[in-house]
Amino acid sequence: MSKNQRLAAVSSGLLILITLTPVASQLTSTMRGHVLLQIPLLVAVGIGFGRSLAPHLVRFLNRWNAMGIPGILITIFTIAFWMIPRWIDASLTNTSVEWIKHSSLVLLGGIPLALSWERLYPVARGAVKIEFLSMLFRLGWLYLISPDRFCNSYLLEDQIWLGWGMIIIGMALTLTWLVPVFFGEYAPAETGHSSPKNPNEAPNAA
Amino acid sequence: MNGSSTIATIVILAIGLSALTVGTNGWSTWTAEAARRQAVVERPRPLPAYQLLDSRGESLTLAQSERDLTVVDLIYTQCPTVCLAMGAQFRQLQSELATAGLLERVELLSVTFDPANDDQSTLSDYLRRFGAVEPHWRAARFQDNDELAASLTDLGVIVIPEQSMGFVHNAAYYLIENGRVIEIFDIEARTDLFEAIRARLAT
Repeated sequence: MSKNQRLAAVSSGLLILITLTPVASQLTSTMRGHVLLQIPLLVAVGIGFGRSLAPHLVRFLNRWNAMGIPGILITIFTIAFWMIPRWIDASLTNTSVEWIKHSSLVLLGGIPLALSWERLYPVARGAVKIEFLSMLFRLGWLYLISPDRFCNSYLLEDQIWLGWGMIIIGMALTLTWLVPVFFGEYAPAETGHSSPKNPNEAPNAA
Repeated sequence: MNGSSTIATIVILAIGLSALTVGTNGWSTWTAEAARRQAVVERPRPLPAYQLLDSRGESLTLAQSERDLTVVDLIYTQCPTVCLAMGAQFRQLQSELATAGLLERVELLSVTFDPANDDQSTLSDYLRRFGAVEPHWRAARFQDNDELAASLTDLGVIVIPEQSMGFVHNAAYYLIENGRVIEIFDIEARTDLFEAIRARLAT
């Protein structure tokens, strides 16, 4: 079994686990499990599939994905859509919406992310990270302070849990992402001018 | 950026923005609760003629009423939190309607979604506790659990059983005219509800 096949197999296994087995209802039984585990895992499954695509398919898709911009936009829109409380609720009460959620997060959330991330310019990558962090903090703060429930299917207490979860994850990611900016490869060199290690990263997707 | 990627970007932006716009009814409806309230106003649906029994043993249905308007709130009598507030608000509404001389034309109806615990006498106690003036304010229960479940689904009510608090539900007031829900109000929006009733009855 090649490395790609192994990755595809693991991703398929994870997908089945989090959508078809009792684990799925366990994850979606709480708002925090739904938003902080199931949705990110579905995107992760997509990343796994994206990284195991055949090279000729990747080459074909890359023609439509200059600098990774179209691809990352698909991912951003998809994730943004599934952050709307109305559709989180709907995925719990309507089976078709649930299936659309599962398939779109894998196909439109994860796969384009895998195909685009390495191709983005570092500045664009930074912008996506900043936007992702601010989404976590904005939503987390909103969930913490709101006296109203955003999802009819979840308790207010659960929503506050989710708020804390988002803020803690946001802080952890801020540290992981910002520390290298100041002290790592982008830090000013001793000579006084900044020199990213590899300013023109070769666009490779797999 | 090459030509095909530019086209892809434009198409993706168009589809993505449309999806978000449609998915939020034009950036206005972010929650399922708002969506169900909006749907009720835009497409009022007839309520099914399921039989309910009130605390005095009289039967009634949500599909028909002798009065011009009916205001329904969903309750369960053991509720420690939000239903207490709703009961108090209903009492206020009752006295506002009486002062305005409209009480005879409006039916206030508290329907329990916990018929296992709320029988006729429990419902009478509930009415007495909040100073309900019968027959203007009645409390009723569904005869059939499936019909109750179907009605809750129809109205978009989701009840979550919860250990320490009994049940949590998206509480609201339902304004019903001719067997159709015409508007849904927040439990804090008693004043708006009263104004809506007055406007309806004035015409």
